[in-house]
Amino acid sequence: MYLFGEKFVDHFLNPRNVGEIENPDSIGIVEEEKGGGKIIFYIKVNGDRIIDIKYKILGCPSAISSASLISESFIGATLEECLKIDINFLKNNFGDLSQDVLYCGNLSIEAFKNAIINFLKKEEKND
Amino acid sequence: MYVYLNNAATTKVDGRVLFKMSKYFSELYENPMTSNYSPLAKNVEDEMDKARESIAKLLNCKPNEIYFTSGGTESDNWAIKGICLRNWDKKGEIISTPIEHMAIIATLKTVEKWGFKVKFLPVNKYGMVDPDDLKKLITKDTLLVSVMHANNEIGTIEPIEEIGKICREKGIVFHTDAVQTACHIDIDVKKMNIDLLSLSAHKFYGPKGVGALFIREGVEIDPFMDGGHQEKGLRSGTHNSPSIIGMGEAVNIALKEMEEERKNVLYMRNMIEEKIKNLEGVYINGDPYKRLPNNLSISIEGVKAESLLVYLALNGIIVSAGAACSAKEKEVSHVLKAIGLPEDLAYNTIRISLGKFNYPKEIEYFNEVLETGIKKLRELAPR
Repeated sequence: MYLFGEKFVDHFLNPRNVGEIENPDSIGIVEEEKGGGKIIFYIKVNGDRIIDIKYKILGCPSAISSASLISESFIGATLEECLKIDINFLKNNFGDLSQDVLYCGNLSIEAFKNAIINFLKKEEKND
Repeated sequence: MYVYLNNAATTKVDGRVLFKMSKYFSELYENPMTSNYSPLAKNVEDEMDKARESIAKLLNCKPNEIYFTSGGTESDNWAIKGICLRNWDKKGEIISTPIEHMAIIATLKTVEKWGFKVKFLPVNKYGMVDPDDLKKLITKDTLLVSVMHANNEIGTIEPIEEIGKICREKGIVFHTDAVQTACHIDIDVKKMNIDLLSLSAHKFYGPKGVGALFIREGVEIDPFMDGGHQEKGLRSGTHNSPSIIGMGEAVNIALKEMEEERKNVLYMRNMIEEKIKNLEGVYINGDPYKRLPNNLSISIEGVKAESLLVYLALNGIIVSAGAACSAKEKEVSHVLKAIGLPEDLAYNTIRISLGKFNYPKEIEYFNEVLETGIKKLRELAPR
């Protein structure tokens, strides 16, 4: 096995759900201040549930693996469930990771949450 | 297949070097400082002297101008701090470049705190220094000029001979960090007017933890290590005799095989460059002509170095990156910054450094994995 766990490597080498959603219900973007990284999450929502997740990413291995894991784990989840996701989600799935790796992974979490928060804000306005 | 392409970081010890060293650990282990009465210690001292002669031959200097150290970092520290300590009372200026190895950059920061002034020569987009700029920077207070022979990240070979000539004419001590060049390209300290030169054995198939500082006869420098007066009182500390002897053997091998190695690594580097030509958005850093034959620094649009590094490693290929991913502290390499590489590209830069143990089949494999990796990672990137 490599320095990272098997699951981490699998997501890095075979990232799931990569791409864009045409006419998404919301998008969330995180751009790194330093490092030139950029993550865009696209979501499709039906009622209070996420029915599709896609993303595009220029980032570190950990950001890629995390984005893939998020996309795989949260299709079908409620918005409320999605908003609870934090760094422990990565720890529980990928095992022990260094602070650096967690930091980069967290960028993907933030981008995903941004997509949901943006969606909720839009809904609020429409109400 | 496991392909090691990080030879600028360190090299594998040549089997002949290891063999030569082995008996100096457990048979001929005595302290060479007791050579006046112990025959075994005398043997060790003689072998160390042979190593000194080999290095002298490599650099075209006298054996008594070679001082053994613990490696490149110590040699660099000693060269700069030693000159500063010698000129403690009057202080003065040091001129260097912004693309030096951290062993120099960090040492310069320390001597600045000691009250010495540090000035930097500009470099062009290839990392090349212009000797005319040096002429303009030199003042009556200039004590020391330190310019690396070749850069460790982008491979650019500096105009050392011209710089040395200017320093010699002005009577200024000239130091060069030759850690990347010793035993790889030709060095002639006489022709190049070098006063101080650092080298490190593990960069040329010798052991880690040993190196040397060449100090031209007549150069006034203080010791950096105090203690038992080894190396004519200038570098104390029990000699690392097995490693010193190993370094000597590595130099002997290089004297015979350097030319062939140069040809081979250049051939393999060309194989990679040919491949890169066909890939869009991949750029080569460093001087197009005056560059170390084993060095290839490339910047790749739309691919983060960190991800490519790990992708290659997962496929058994080891290279290095121009910027380490250290989370919030993400800093582009000071070298890539100094040559003005756009920040986005600097974070997308990897260094491939070849060595004599690489062979063309490995490069074919590398080329294949590189292309696939770039393609895969670019597919993920936002437009």
